[in-house]
Amino acid sequence: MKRFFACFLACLLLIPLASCGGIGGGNEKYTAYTLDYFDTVTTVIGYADSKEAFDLVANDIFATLRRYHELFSIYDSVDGINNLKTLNEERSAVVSEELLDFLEYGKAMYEKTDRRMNIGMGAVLSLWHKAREEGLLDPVKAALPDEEALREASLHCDLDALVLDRQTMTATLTDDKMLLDVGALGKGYAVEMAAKQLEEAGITGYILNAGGNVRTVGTRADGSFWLVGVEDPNREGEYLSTVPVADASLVTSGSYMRYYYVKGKAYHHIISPDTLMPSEFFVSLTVLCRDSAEADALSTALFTVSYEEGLRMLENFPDAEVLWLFPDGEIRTTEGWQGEM
Amino acid sequence: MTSRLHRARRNDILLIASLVFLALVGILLSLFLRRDGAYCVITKNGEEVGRFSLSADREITYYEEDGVGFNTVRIENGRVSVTAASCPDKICVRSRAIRYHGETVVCLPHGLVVTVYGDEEGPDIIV
Repeated sequence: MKRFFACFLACLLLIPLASCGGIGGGNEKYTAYTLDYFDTVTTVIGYADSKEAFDLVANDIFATLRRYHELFSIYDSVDGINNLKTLNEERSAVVSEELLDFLEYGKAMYEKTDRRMNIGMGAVLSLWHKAREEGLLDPVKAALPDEEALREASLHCDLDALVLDRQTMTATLTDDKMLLDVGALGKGYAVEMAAKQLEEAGITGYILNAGGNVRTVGTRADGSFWLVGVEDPNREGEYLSTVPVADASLVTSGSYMRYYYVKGKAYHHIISPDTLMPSEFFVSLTVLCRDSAEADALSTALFTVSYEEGLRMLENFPDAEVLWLFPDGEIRTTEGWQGEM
Repeated sequence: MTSRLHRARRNDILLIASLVFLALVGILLSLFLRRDGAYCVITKNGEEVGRFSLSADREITYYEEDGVGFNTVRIENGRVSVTAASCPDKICVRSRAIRYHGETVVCLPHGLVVTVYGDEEGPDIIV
């Protein structure tokens, strides 16, 4: 009987061998999100040994995003700091090193994108913002911004009028009517700063997603690449492309994200510096490169130029890959686009 | 003496029978539970070098750092196999084409592994 029992135990030992397979390592996957920053939903996905360990990392990320959110705000004052609202109102302000670094980066991007990515277009964008907000509140009375006012505002968008002084840590707007609006760059920049913090701390296995501004840090826990789906605005739940990535950023700019209707026609939020109207070259475009700030800047800049001009601009960004979706449904990508179509 | 021998034989038979039974259950389970693959991931020395859907036929050649050694991976009719290689043992080339979730083809000399995955997992994130 004893021996029979031993046989039975031996057989029991075999069962886990037969039934294993497909179960990953011990690292658990967690998710956290917040609606508090950059007028969008921010998600953190990551692998950690415990919920507590994950929460520590996620809270660090959120704290960084919060700091930049406050620095970049043009609508809300924040006690004790000079942010962009302060600068827009006072025209000159002593700013933190973090904000000065960012403004410097904005000026560099302005040059690198042929003056397409412009954080000094606030005068024009505020007219559109106001018209859109009013149009969404009262769709019957929805109207476009006044053409003359737009043209006047566009004369005050030369970013060279933003003067930075590292000695005195001062930022000055030398054009009286210039307004900063960093909506097209701030999110990506803040996400990049948070991601760099993780990298410096040696933490991997995370995705940071601020409203579709995605930055991956490392790979999944099992070493495989993350899969990022590029949304197909015409077919819900389908993807234009699925891209395996590690340590990379993807940002989509799309005409379907923020818009309002005027007399039955949709007007979205990416305004061309040439026409001062929403750009109509593409339905959406997605940029893939390592740096999230660069991806954010580039996606906006490319959205306002033709495909051919975009290819020329990309010569300044050798590690960036792009997927364009044209209004007629055609999809084009740069040669190095790694995604599965 | 004889009765002890008999008992031993009876237990041996019991052991063998239960092992055979469990093996059959295992085989049946794996047959029923195996999932069709949707894409394959190719790694070289542990690093991912390619990821392809099994739905489109294609052929990719991965070269060694010396630029001479190689493995050619072919995707055809929803199966993936190594069709040619410069390795000495050619075990990868002789392996049959794989198509189910979790199956692998390995080339040890070149550190190349082809793994098939099912498609139950969507993207981790959407932009």
